[in-house]
Amino acid sequence: MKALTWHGKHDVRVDTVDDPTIVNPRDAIIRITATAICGSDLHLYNGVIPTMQPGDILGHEFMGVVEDVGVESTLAKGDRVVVPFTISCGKCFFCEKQQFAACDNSNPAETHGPSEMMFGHHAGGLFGYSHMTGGYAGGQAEYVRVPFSDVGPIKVPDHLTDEQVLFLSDILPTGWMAALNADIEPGDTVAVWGCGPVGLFAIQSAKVLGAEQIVAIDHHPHRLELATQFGAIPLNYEQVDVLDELRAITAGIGPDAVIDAVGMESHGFANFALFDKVKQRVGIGADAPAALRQAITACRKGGRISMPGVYGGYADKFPLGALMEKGLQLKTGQTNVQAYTADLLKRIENGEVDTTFLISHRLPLSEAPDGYRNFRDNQNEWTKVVLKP
Amino acid sequence: MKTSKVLRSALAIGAVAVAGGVAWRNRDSLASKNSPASEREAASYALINAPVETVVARLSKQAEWTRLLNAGAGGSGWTAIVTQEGAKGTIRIIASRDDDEVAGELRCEPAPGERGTKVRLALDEPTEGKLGEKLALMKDPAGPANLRLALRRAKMLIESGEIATARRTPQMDTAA
Ligand SMILES: [Zn+2]
Ligand SMILES: [Zn+2]
Repeated sequence: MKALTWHGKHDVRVDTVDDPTIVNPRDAIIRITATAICGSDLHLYNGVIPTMQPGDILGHEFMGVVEDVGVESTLAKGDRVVVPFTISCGKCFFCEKQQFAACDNSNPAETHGPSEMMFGHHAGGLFGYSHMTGGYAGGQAEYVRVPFSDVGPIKVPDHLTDEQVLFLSDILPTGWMAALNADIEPGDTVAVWGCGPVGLFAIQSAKVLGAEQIVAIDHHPHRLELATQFGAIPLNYEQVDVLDELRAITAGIGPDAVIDAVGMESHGFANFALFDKVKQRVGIGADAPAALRQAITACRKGGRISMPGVYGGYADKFPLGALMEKGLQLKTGQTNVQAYTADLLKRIENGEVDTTFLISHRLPLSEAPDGYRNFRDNQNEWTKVVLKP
Repeated sequence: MKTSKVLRSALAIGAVAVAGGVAWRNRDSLASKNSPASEREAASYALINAPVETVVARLSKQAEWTRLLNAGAGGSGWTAIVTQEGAKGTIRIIASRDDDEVAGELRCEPAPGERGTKVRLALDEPTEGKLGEKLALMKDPAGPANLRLALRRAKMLIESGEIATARRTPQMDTAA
């Protein structure tokens, strides 16, 4: 089959590789009908995620049709399913608590030394996202092997198009969990840093969850414009002083909740950004939390911080004092996708949530390398790339 | 620690777990050493994928030990022999390789707070000499015959019914 493979920094290729087959009893093989390039795939593309190996198949946002099933799978050949990017056994302590991203049994990495050293515990398995998360082949391919297929994949009705449901795999539940983690109350102002797909879905979710005012912060005019369709107030951080504007919008109080939808490669939001970049270059595992710093500074006293943005290392100049002195709460984590898919599918069906507004480009799998380059270089226009194998 | 005394040291994988093992290879089971690698892998996976309900009970059988110990990574040449079936999932084993021999005990017990089963593998461990060095290697989390990995795999098998793998086919070594 054809698959998009990683070969190094800024080097992804469409290769011919062996088709996957059933390995374990709960497996299913899915023929991919649609898959997307994610903002977090750009971290792999930019070579800032460790434990990648040449030839690794990328892609963690995908859906398709069931081709083959193991004896314990609850899917049937021909089922149309969206697959969560988090691989979860459904039976361990964490899965039973609906903390699917923390699954104890889905990460087969032979050593968890680095993650145990850095994080204290190892992470659950993810599709197409380095060997630290299990080395699973991703779904930017014609076929994919899906472990624990009785837990993750959600069946979708025929009257919904691929593009309506594809993002149930990651960015929609991720934006949704980001808004839930902001504990939005009536009257709240919610400020969102980063109008990439997760930020935009967080904005849409915040609206659904009843935020009074939503502020969108980015520097890409088109992305800011997409945010305004959900009633968000756009702030271009290259043109205005974000902290001043947020004070003005909230009568000096500050946003009740702030959402960092930027993550580890955050640049240009505030002081120290250059310092972060240098440290990242010299490979000392530094995250670049420029957006997060500003979000914490902006947040009102006693407010909430939600952090869906991806981080993987250590942060410098982290405003710990502001966190403590203002009594802020912080919620974060990889998305527990399986906990939200059924609810979100209903919201898509009844028209409450729209996902298609985000898609800017549709490409065949063979043009995926171009898709990656453009998604990185032309972030204003290339808001979301969907690949059709 | 410098001593010629045989010390007892234990390794446990928390919450809900089971026995794993050192990638010990049993000479009597699976396909023969002379069969192609792909066949051996397939045989190994067929065994691994047995129903989960009976796994704990079956741990007291030597063949099941071998089944667990052979999961995944290439074996280290150790052979495990179950010498005694104790109460409540306690099993005495003797593992040997070449002239080396080490005794140990596997115990499964409920983890506190209903967090599943705690699984512990304790070895009667010499700290000196060739064997001491080899055992130290097995306890190294990055070591090739890594006890923690074996225990984790056993826990996967008990809890989820299978041992997670990124292989795209039973034969394939990597994800790609
Ligand atoms: Zn994603
Ligand atoms: Zn689990």
